[in-house]
Amino acid sequence: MKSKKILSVLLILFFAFGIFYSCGKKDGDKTSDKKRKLDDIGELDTNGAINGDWVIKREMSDAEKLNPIVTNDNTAEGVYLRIYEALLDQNFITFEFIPELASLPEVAPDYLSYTFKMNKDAKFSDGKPVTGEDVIYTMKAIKNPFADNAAARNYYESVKSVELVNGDLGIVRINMKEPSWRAIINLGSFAICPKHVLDPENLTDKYTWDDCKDYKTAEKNPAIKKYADFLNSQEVSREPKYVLGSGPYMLEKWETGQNIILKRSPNYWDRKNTPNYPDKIIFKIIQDNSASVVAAKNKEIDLMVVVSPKDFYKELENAEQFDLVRVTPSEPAFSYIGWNMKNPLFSDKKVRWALSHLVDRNSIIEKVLYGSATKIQSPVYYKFEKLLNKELPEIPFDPEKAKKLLDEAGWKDTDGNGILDKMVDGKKLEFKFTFLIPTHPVRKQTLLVIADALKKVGIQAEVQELEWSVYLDKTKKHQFDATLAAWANPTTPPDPYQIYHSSQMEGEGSNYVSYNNPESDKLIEEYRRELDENKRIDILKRWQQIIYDDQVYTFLWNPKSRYIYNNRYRNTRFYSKRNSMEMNEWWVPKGSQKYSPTMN
Amino acid sequence: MSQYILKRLLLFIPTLIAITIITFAISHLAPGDPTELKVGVSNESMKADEKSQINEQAKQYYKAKWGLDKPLYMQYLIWVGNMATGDFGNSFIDNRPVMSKILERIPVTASITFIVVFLSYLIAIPIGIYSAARQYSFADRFSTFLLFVFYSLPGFWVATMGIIFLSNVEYFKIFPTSGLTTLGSDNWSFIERLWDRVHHLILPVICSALASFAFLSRQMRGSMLEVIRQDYIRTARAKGLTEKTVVLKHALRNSLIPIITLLGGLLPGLIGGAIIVESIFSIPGIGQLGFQAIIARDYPLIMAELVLAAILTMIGLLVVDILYAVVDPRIAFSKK
Repeated sequence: MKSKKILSVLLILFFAFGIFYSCGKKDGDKTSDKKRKLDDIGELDTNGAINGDWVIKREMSDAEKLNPIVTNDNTAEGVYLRIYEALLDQNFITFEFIPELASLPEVAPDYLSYTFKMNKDAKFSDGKPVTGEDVIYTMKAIKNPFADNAAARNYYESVKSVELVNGDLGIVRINMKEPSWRAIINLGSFAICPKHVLDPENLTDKYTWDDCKDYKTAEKNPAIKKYADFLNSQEVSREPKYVLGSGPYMLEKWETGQNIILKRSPNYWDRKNTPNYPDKIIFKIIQDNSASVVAAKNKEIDLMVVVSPKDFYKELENAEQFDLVRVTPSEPAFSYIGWNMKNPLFSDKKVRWALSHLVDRNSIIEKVLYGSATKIQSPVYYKFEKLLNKELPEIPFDPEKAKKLLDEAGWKDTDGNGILDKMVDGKKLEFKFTFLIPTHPVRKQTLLVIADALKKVGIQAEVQELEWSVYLDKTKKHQFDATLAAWANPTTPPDPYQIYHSSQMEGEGSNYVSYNNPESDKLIEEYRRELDENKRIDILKRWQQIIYDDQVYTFLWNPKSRYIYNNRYRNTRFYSKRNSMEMNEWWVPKGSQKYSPTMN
Repeated sequence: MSQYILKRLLLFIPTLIAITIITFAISHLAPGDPTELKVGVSNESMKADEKSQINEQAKQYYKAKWGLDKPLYMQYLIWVGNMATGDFGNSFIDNRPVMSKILERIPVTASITFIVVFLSYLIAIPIGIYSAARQYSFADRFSTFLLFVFYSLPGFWVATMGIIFLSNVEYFKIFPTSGLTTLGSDNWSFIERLWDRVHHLILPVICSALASFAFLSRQMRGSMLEVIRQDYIRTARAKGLTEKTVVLKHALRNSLIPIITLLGGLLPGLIGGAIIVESIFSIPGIGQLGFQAIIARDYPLIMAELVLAAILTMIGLLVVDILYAVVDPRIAFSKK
């Protein structure tokens, strides 16, 4: 008997200590207000910048492949953007294109060809110059239908051919199949790969542009398949010998599942415009979110995205204590609720307006997202001031108005069971539905708040979480009532065709909510054809008005990204783009450098 | 004996066929489409505004390339045919041969599993013996309580708590948070590197060992208690042997028999547990690999891992049966 008592006392003590201990930790000292404003880009700070030190960034998953031609994952993109360069770069403050490996192109008046003049100084990290041949090679490799890059090939479908102008290695012309003002976006952005490394046997010269038209044609020329087999092989995507570009860093080592280590390219050609201060940039794979927060506090990593808002705003409230700085740059993306208009519940515009009035965005942003989001009314990235229709008023949280709208749409609680109903095609339909989402705690919390508001007006909504590929399958087949999802915004003028055009309701299109409005379709088509920029912007603005009036989506917010980084770095700018920062610009003053060059 | 082993080995074949049929069917019939990965829609942050009919064509191409356009039984037969020649195919994700992906990760998982099994037995047996010999003593009650706590704690929770409290500068910074090696440890001396590796493995090993060790020592206690009540033990005591001799010499051997059988059941459980522990500690082992394969619907990789786990389990069970004969002369497999 006695032993039992001792046990229970021990147990109580054990838990009490645990609680006490963890509480005690929370009330850390509230230090300086002299914090960096959480969401600015950051000042340019390169005075006295010196080489040295490393940046260790946490990645949630390993890259699949590092060859940019055949790669399609986020981790890999963040890595290879340091190793490779494209014809053009973008200024992510003004969103303008700037020259990189080539000057800004000369566009033919009919928009059917783009002529780039290569920078004569540009060199790959092995010292060989970057020429028009490399551009031709890269595009041919991309166009190879057997290469493992169907996702990337989509962007270059409209490219007809690439050729040297008058045989000059320094001037290259890209010919298009159809005139398109948007082509420059993709033409400027593909990573140029060295032909002498990736195609020493000149296999890509043995097939023509027309041979790559489709799978059937391609099968007739064995060189295509042969080259694709080489390009798809694991060596090409993994070994430093092949993963080689003209960028500021080069691949040193890839320890599968653990680290990807880049080292500074010693003879980088464009250091003036693109500095490469850190000796190494290391991508360390830590799968678990809580483990990575601990690793950041321990200074085992220098930079990471904090996935959970709660970790960022509560767990890391005293980030300075661990020499960490928190920033919340806006990365171009938006969250929305999509209402499946094939479902009779949501086919009526008035109902969708009512639902939008039932989303309390202010309190969700404050409580679920800890304030880290910017409300939006349009699918155009809100920092794109030139393109954004600013006339669209915010839709307030207004249950009374919602009730009125639902009433006008014929939704009444006739049987007094607390749930709205309506006669549809002779049958009584109750307003009950399910939100389908991929497993995602923040989205779930958001929807639970919304479901609560819906319940108060007599709409019963449930939330179902599904594993990602199952969720994807269901949304593509339009087998859902409503969903909370997000789209990435391009940092270039958008093309609404894929998501909002009625032709995209079937097959591979992304019009999952089955939006069909001929007026919107017409504007989208005009917008794609219009070559005059001002007219185009005008069309895009009118189109935004229609989308808003129809409440195709309930547009929610542009969520802020959450980064933490070690405070020894300077010139830490976070831009409005995906993979927000350029670690190669970061530098550490002499006295604060942590890793010395002698450490391997 | 050798005849028995041969018979058992032959039985592997139908068992393996049954297992692969079931797992093949389950993995392929589960919703989700691996070709989506190849056209890039698997990622929400892709630029959604730039897709076209190429996707449809490419999906058809990959379906044909991977044989997914054929009826399921044909797919299975093709897969079996390839497997019989040792070809497990290439991973859908990165096109690498499945076997090379698995082989590079096996040493990690195997060493963790081996250490875990070894330690579990090493600790569980003495604890079991002790608490059986001193039944209802304070030590027995305490260990019973503690072991039940260990047994019921979910592995992922223990692992997360371990990281938060034992490898955190805020509390105790004893262990590294994740991975297998320290960055830049390449040019350390062998001893330093060895210690680095051990240091990284301590927490994961404790987390995977906790449940199996608790389970084993409970089993040990139970079987010891059973043996200790036998007549021959009473006889031994009556002969005037010391309690120590009675327990450690006469009772121990017989009480070990059921414990050995548990080894067979422990192995698949540990491989399953590796998925969780490896994911939380970011250890590049086959558990983590299998988890990623399932998420991506990477069928060749999923199947290769399952076949591997099935074969390991069957070997484990066979070894157990053979060990039986070794520890208990009454058990003989060949008919006299």
